[in-house]
Amino acid sequence: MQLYMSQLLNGIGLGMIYFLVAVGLTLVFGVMRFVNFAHGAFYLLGAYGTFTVMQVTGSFVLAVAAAVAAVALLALVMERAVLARIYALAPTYHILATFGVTLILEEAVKLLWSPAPQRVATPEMLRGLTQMGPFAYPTYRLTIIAVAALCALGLWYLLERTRYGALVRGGAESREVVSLLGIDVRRLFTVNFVLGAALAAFAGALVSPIRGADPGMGTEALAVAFVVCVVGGLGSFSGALAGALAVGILQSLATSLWGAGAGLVAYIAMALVLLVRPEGLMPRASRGAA
Amino acid sequence: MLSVDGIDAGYGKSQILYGASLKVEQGEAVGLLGRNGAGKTTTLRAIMGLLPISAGAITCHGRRLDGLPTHLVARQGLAMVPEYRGVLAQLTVEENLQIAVRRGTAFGLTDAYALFPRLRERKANSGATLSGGEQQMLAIARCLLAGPRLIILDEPTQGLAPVIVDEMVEAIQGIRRSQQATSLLLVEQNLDVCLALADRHYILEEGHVVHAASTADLAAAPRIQQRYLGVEDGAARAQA
Repeated sequence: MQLYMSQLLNGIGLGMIYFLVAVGLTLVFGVMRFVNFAHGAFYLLGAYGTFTVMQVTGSFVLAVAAAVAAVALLALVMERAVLARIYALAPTYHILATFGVTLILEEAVKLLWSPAPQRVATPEMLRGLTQMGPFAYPTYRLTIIAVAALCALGLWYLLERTRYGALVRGGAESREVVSLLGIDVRRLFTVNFVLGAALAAFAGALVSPIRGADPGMGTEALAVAFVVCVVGGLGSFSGALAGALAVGILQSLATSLWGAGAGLVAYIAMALVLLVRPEGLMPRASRGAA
Repeated sequence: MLSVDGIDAGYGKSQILYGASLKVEQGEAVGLLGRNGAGKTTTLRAIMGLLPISAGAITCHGRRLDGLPTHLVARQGLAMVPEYRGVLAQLTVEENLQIAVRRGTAFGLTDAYALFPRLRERKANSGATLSGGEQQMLAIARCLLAGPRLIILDEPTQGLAPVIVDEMVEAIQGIRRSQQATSLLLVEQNLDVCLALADRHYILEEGHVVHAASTADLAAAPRIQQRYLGVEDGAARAQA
């Protein structure tokens, strides 16, 4: 029982990290119908940024903040310099260009740091276990769940309760209508892209004390994020959350039942969802009669 | 204020507009008439920068509009309600309005609700649940929130029940009375609506203006109506 409880919490934590990565992918796809294969690289750089700033300053909070800010800046430059030139082209070019960016960034990581994994120390305050009745669970992992849940709540508020959120949802439905209202849809997209990148970097930063940082982690996270988006329904916020939690918990439970196949479970889940509900578990609300 | 001079435009290889020209002065209401496919909607889309023009010029208060992206055209004070109305189904009625609110304009959310009280009743409903008339109300109220100098309406009464058409005409007349400096450019298939709302009319055929007339002249010219608009009961209307 203890084991399953612990695996369940692990799954929720993992799921929340997946959510932070996947939601950015969904945000960007929603408004621009743009699939960003470089999204995993933001997660990767979030972890490495945290590693380095932590080594230099010793402060985890500072390291996370600096890593997220640096990745946001990089995303801004990338969006303006690379993506702005290819939006009008076919999706194949989007994939090629963003995949190219990923390769460059991954190789840069290997050159700047090393191909070997790096360890990131858990912040001192959050080491050890938290006792919950008869059950003990690592404090840092609990913190991740809480912080990511706060993040999800904040994002929900931003998307569902603010003018910016209404613009994002409206822009996803019709760019033409939103631009007729005097809104610069391009800028809206830049903001979305940078926000999504920052969230992915934040996820990478949060997860680094648990799994360390290694050059392959971005691609790995991207693959899972795609699975999450397909399971939840691409372009949907609640779908990303539900899909991420489902994949995280499944993977985590599978680890204790069938260690060798844990990695496979997510893909099996995706295949099943595609067979049974190809639109995803919680697709974006239907367009209705407009 | 708005001047369209000899523009060519089209979609891909099919050219629709061949040297179309028109003018709208400040405070004036101008109707744009013509058969299906004459280029009315294409003209409006070109003005709003939704479609590039390949010849000619579009200026507003002496400033070139052609070549500007749509949102900057809108910020020059042009607000268009497209033919499909553009109510966002993913948003509530209130959100549809909120995204159009601009600081420093005299017309706010309360004014929008005062203009169309029906919208206040439905403010929490999703845009997808609105009737055709309600959609048109929302679209018109939304375009006023930007405080436009020129309102462009593309077929505002299309597909509406006759009672609702009358209501819409009255509402637009009300807007014209309360915002006398605001100009109106109107595309309509319904000649009566166009005559009721506009001071002056252009008739488009095959992508250019073939006739320009005041409301009184056009109402009294059944042959023009018949020739360019295919209005069968033009004579009857002229006598009425």
